[in-house]
Amino acid sequence: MVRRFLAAGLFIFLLHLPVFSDEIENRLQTVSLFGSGENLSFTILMTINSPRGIKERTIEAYMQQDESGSNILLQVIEPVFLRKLKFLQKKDKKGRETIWMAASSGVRRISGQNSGERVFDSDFTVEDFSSVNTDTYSFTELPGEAVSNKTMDVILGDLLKPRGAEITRKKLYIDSETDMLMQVDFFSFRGDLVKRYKVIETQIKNGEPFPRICRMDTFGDKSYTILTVEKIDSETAVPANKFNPGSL
Amino acid sequence: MKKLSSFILFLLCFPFTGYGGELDIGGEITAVSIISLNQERLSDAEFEGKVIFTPLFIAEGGGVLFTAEPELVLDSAKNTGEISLKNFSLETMLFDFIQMKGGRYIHLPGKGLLSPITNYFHQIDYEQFFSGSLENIYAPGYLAEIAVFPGSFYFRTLVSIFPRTPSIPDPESQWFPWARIPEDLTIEYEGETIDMILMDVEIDDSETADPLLKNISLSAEIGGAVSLFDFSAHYYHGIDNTLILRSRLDFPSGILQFYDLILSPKITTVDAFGCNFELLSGGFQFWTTASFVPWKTLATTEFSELTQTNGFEQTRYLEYAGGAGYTFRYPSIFIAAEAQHAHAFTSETAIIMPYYYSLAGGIITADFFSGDLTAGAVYLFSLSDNSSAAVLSLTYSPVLEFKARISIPVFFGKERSDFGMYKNNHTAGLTFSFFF
Repeated sequence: MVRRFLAAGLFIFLLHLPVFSDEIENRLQTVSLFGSGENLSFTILMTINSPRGIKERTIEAYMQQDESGSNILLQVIEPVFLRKLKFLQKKDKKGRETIWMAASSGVRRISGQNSGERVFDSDFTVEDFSSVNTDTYSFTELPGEAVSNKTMDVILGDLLKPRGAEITRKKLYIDSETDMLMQVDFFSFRGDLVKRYKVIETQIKNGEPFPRICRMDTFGDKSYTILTVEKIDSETAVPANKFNPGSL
Repeated sequence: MKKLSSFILFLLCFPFTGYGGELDIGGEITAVSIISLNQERLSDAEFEGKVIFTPLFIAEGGGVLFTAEPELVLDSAKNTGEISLKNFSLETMLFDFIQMKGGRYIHLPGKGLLSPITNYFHQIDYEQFFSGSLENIYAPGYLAEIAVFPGSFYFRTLVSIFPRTPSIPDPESQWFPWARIPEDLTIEYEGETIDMILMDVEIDDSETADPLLKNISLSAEIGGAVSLFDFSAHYYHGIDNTLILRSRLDFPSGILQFYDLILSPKITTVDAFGCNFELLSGGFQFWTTASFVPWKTLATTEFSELTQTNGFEQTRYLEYAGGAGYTFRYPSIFIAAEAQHAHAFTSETAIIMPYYYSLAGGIITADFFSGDLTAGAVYLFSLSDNSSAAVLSLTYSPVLEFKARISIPVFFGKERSDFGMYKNNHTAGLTFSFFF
């Protein structure tokens, strides 16, 4: 259970979501209640498809959760010239989140203003990899829907201050059986479907379900990015310096 | 030094190739062209070009990460080709929490475009500052470091094994800041006042030609992230990278009035204390940084009649800077400004190099076409003499693998002012980079 939540959170990590209903709140709170002391590392193949062509990146992802909070590090391994590209997200036990991006020009913090910045030139943005700010969205539960012959719990998140934002609404689909986040639809202020994240294929590792292939579509740019999780290691401890901004 | 670097590269690569470690190869090919447009017709424009090939080798094995970046530079102006080991490093972890790293690389302890403390660790390449990319303005040093990372904090000590001797730019170069050296001197000689006229400037670097192991620099820093703040504090003991020159008068013609100036760099040691804060809130970014040197050696403009050289003095020296920036999301614009001031206590005749004294800078960049095209302008303004410099640039990078950039520096101010001393020779820098 712990790992399936963590794996889902690697791609669209939703912790401490503000909710109107206690039921939804309790449901989403379980995400943050599990995973204490867990270490996970992934090797991910990122394939970026755009009208300009296809690009591939190999990414190493590290995740850690304990009672003090959670950490996520993504770093490009290939191509070699992008090795300095890194993404670090740290969240303390109160859910306060800090994000750094490293590039050849140095390390910089990412503010809310830059949350739309693309990560590693892909269709995923900083906001997609980070959690939803507790002051940013309000959530309501919708009737369940069937997607790919599976019953999904559906939660609708509306941006509290939508003015000027590109994406103002998110619709989350969660597998009722595995509690894995299977799909997110991103809507503009006009209600147009702007982006879609979807788990295409899952896999079992040590008896726990993980996403294996997932896809993010950006409809306006006619581009999409596919993440293929190639290796999962849940036993090796991740060195503490991986999650320290001073070592980026 | 180059032979030594090549030998080190060979020694470090050998274990990985012999014991089944992973070796990844990538790199960069950059073509740089400086175009002089100061001609009547564009077709008469003069071109100087460089092709820089920088392969990157990364090898991992046995918990050790090895990185090497040799560099091949083909220079059309000098009609030469040079190969050197630009960067290399060896990195490993001990007990999963002590990071050890050694080699030749750039370590940037400060933030901001003009961070004073950073100047003690690295020489600034001002030509890059005006015509190149900002991330290349610092020269790498030979370093060995040990770092630990408790929680969100870090503690790092560095030893600079090989000193980075201050080097004097070519006097013929437009980047040479020799306007601070007195062109016209009046000296008292045998009771008479003589107006001196400068004929030529020569470089004598024999004193610092072989600096191997002559100086060892030590630094320590502690830093971390607390709430909205990133902070760091630094101590540095070692060679002062500020260019300090001994100037000697020479009279080749035998006539006292006409003199040549012989410049030689002087190696001095400093103890520097620095601190750095950065705050990010919403789209706003604030940073401040300061360094203090209790005893800093500065050259003075006073010449000794006896030795016919200029004097030196030690003084307390404080540099501080503050800046602010804001990022607009729609449209995608970043705007920032920073002011910097250096204060030498109780000194009136000391020569303080340009860019270390008192200036303000601003930068604005705007992204178009989803970031494919970036227009930028950097503006520096000397608060001491009101001269200024600006660099306008246009960068086109439709994919991360390719970047084209054109930049045009322009200068304003009197001939011997901080920025006005650079020739306004209407040059444009054109750079094409391919990454693989």
